[in-house]
Amino acid sequence: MNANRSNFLSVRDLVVEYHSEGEIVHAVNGVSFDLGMGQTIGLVGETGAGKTTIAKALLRILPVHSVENIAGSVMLAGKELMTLPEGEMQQLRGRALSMIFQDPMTALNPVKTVADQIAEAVKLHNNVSKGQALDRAKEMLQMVGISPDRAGEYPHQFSGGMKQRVVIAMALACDPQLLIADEPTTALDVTIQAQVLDMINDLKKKMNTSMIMITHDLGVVAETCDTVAVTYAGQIIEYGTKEDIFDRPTHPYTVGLFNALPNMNANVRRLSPIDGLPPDPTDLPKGCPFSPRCPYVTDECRRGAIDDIFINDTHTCRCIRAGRKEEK
Amino acid sequence: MIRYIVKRLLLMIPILVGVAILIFTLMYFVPGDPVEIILGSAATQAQVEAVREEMGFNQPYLIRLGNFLKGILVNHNFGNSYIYGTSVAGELASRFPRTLTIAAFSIILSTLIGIPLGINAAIHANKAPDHISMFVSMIGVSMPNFWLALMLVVLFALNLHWLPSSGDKGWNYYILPVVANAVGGIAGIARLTRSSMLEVIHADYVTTARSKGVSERSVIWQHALPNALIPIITMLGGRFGGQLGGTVVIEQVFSIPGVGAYLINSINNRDYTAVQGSVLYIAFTFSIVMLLVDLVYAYIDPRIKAQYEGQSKKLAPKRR
Repeated sequence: MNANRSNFLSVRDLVVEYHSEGEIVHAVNGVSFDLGMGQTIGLVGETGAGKTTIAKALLRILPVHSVENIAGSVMLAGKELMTLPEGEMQQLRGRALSMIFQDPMTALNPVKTVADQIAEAVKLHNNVSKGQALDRAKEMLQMVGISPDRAGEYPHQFSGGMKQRVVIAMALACDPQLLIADEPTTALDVTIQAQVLDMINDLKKKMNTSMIMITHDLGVVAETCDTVAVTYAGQIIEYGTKEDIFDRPTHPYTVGLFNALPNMNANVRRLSPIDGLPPDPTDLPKGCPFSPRCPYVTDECRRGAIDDIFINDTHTCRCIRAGRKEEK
Repeated sequence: MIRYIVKRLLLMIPILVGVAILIFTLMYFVPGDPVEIILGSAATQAQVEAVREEMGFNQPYLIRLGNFLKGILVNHNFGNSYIYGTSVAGELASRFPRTLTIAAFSIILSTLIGIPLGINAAIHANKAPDHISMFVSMIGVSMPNFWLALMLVVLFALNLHWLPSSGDKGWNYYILPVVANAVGGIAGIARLTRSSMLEVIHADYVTTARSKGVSERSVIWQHALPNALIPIITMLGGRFGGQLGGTVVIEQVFSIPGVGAYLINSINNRDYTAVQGSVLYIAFTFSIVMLLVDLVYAYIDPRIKAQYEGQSKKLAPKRR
């Protein structure tokens, strides 16, 4: 990825390994990407591809007891997050970078009012009184389309879509510079999904927030992202602008993802899925992680790690065929 | 909420009447005769019969039950002890503060020590602090309280002469009983807190709190703990309610004239009125404590509060 571009967020060679029942789970294996101010990157991939782990690693909120190894570099606005003392990291969390969690049903504390939960971060990061923080919480509720009259209510009194809005309001309450949205629409009905996405887009523009959009929904990517990183088995296997990825998908996995989408124009009886399952993260294949499922696999693919190949200035692909296809 | 409390208080009336009938019936069928105990083994058959007649023991079951219930409901009185002739209610009232002291301080100790111990174990789950505190609390749970009480007496009263071994002539007489009584509670609460905390400590909302920049201390005490409290409150409430009915063993070991000691003596003497009064008192205090526990639930968890209020609304007359 283009290292000489000056970037707001730059992640280099991020590695996260868990231990589970005596085995090492290779969740994230050398992930690097950059993100400019006000830009949105989409992390796309199947369940278990390591997307959420990447997000939690940036915030350093991975469960301490199960992390075996975490390495790499995360520079946010010129600050290295990985080596920052925990106290300073706490001050950044919720203020400089914050996260919208995947499941609104469990992300809210059932015994605290929604206003208290939003106000908590405001109170922590700004020099304000409790009352001022609660006013800000009501303002945020208004912003996400919930009547401030309901500020004193508890999560169980809200519907799923409204809880997700509360989660979003909470994440945005301190005007974060970087917002990580972990599948913010997965738990929602399709009708609510569109509303929530529009809302996130609006808020992002209003505050010039950079965003990492984690999703497995290519439609969401098309609607919100500037650049796209396709993740597979803890690696970014293809990376580029939205146009690069959508118009010229190169990696066989990315191509497979697009082929698996229903096409309105073609009259097909069945969708074409990618054969096989993602590899077991405790026992990754040597070489390209996609090789066991890849229709174009050669012996070279299985030999060792695949390097990123530049297709153009903004578009890289971790497949040995990438460069050659264009030569032919 | 007030409607719920009133409803619960009203519900206590049939419960207490039920307990009264049950305990009266049980005592009626229990072998043994208070008259023989009052008069001693030297009394003649005629004397026994005369006293039985005088105390109304020869009347049929239903009439005696009716008199007993009338005494409670109309005169608000448990009657007088057959053996000592003193008022049972008065006796219970004078003993209650001693039992309350032991029970209350035991519960306070269990809470103040047990909960932090359990939290600490949960935070360091499967590491040294966890193993140490769980090992110690295992000993605490397993140790019979009378044995611990005797050991404490041997050490602090007989050898060190720091504290009195028995009686109740001042606050220092209560230190050993309270400690002996609380150790099991502390250990039990610590173990329960640990397992209850472990269930919530990895919950998504705890991660959410961390992602907001909340300090680890607040994450544990303000976000995780309130969600883990329900089973802990249940256990504390059960112990407190039980101990208000008399910490029998502790009262015996330390010769403290509390409610438990009274009940045991009354049973041994077939002192019907005293037993019936004591049991009703226990049922009453236990019901009150359980009501308080349920109110604490509602205070901690808004979902439970909503449930209570929902129940009460169903009973309320529909307004047009």
